[in-house]
Amino acid sequence: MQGLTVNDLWANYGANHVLQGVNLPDLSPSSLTAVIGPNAAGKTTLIRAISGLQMAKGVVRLGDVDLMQCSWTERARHVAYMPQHLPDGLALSVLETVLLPAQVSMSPFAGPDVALQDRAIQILSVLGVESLAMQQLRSLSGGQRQMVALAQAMIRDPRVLLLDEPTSALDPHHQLSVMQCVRSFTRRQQVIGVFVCHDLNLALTWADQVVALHQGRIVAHGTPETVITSDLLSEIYNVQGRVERCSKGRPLLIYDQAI
Amino acid sequence: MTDMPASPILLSYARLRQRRKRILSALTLLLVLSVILDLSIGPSGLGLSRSLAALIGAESASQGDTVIIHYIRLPQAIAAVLVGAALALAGAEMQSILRNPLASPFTLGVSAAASLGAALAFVFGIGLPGLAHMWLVPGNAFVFAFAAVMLLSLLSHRFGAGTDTLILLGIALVFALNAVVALLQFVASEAALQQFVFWTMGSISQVSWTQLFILLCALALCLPFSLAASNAMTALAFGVDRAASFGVDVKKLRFFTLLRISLLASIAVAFVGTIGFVGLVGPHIARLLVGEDHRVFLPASLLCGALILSLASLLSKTLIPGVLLPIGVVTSLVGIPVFAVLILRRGKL
Repeated sequence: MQGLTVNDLWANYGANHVLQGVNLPDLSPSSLTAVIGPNAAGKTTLIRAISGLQMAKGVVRLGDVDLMQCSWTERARHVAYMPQHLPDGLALSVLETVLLPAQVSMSPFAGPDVALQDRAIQILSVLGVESLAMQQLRSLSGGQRQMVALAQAMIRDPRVLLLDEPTSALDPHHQLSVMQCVRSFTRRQQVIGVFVCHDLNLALTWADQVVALHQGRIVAHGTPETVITSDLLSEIYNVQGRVERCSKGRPLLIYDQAI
Repeated sequence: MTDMPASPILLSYARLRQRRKRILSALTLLLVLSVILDLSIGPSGLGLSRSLAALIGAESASQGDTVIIHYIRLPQAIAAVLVGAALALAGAEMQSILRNPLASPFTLGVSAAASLGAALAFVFGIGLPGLAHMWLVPGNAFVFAFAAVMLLSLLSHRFGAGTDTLILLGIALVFALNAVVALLQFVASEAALQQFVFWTMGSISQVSWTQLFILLCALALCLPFSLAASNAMTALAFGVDRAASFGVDVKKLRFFTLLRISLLASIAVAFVGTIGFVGLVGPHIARLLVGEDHRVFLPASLLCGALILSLASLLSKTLIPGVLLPIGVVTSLVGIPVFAVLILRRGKL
């Protein structure tokens, strides 16, 4: 299967080097990687650069495909990127919203594609929001919109799914729903999943591996428990904290104080 | 393999699409009715039956009736339809690529730039070299309007100006151009001033068949490309990042859309003067009627614009009996309250 390779990736805003030669460990299909780091560490820039939205220098390859040299259409076939928020004021139904990414490459004059519509409904149903299909996007809550955004990212069957803070501003129920869906999607479809998050417990719980960014450089990567340690917390987040195991044996991060 | 949707969701989606098609058909029908009414009303008192007889060249039609219909009412009625269609299509595309509901050729300085070009022609007789006198004003207006859209396009394309910045620059452009126009009006002769003021009010009464043909060609040229880009434009409504990740080349889309907008808006404004709010209100009504799937939204905007201006043409002849009001005044009278409501409800539409 084709893995994602990111080597020596540089990106800057003006004179400010946001990414400074980032080398990611090889990301394999079916894996879910969390990108963590304090504000302005370059997390969003990293996944935007992988998806081609941010000008960058370096190597981004998916198997044999050089993503840096791809056209927009070609890249969109391999990589789906989900920004933080879905716009809320649009006069479109949920079903139309989910169908859209697949329709962009189709002729606007083509008739309705029933197979594609079936697939959209199937995805909505997997995400548990099938009942919203004919509702207007503007009538949805934040959590519902996020599920729709996820369905939108899934419809084209990407090989790489990049998510920017997919659970920000969501209640615990929707946080869990989104992460469960993302993980089962990456496993079932053998997709390479990468998500940016601020909630380190989310990374501990859901990620197969964690990449910690600080000032545009990778300072640690590996399994969640080897990366998210007291040392890392004090080094890059300036907080004292510890990882303990809850009664069910799962690791849980507890913050003590800011340094 | 059958095309019949199976699930209840797909059935209701199919019904939604049918409903939108019916709305497009209803708009077309209303437009035809409005044009027929527009043809049958005028200061000469020709009623519906005589107008229609003259239109189809029936033997019963007098030569006078035929002249009135073919040289006065028909060009005006068609001008209202084509100008309304062009301005509303341009407005709809502008709102989509700038992702701002307040964008239109009128609010972003395209009309103001055309006014400056026209003012230069009226006041100083300055115009494109080699152009016949009758084309001086539209020629200038076109060049200035085109330059205004190109300036906006350049700012957006080269310097990555955000959409809000573009809107503010457009508004600044309106004020700056209006100031220069005011200066020209100050130094203008009385005759030139009168002609110019009439032009700025927007009138379809002076439009020639040649001008209509040019406008029709511009619409016929732009519309297929607009429709071809409709899915990409719907994607852009979700933001530049999302659209790009769906595979849309946003820079290319913006450039070619602005090119189409500049052609449509500048040709329309050049021939009929400043007709405000059609480019703004037409797309808004269309959005309320059919939503934002641009495959339907763009044709609906075009039809709404054509219908609004055709109705405005009717109103301009009937509001004050015996007086033909400039059509731009009528659209402004109707458009300003709508514009105010849009600003107050911004984000909700």
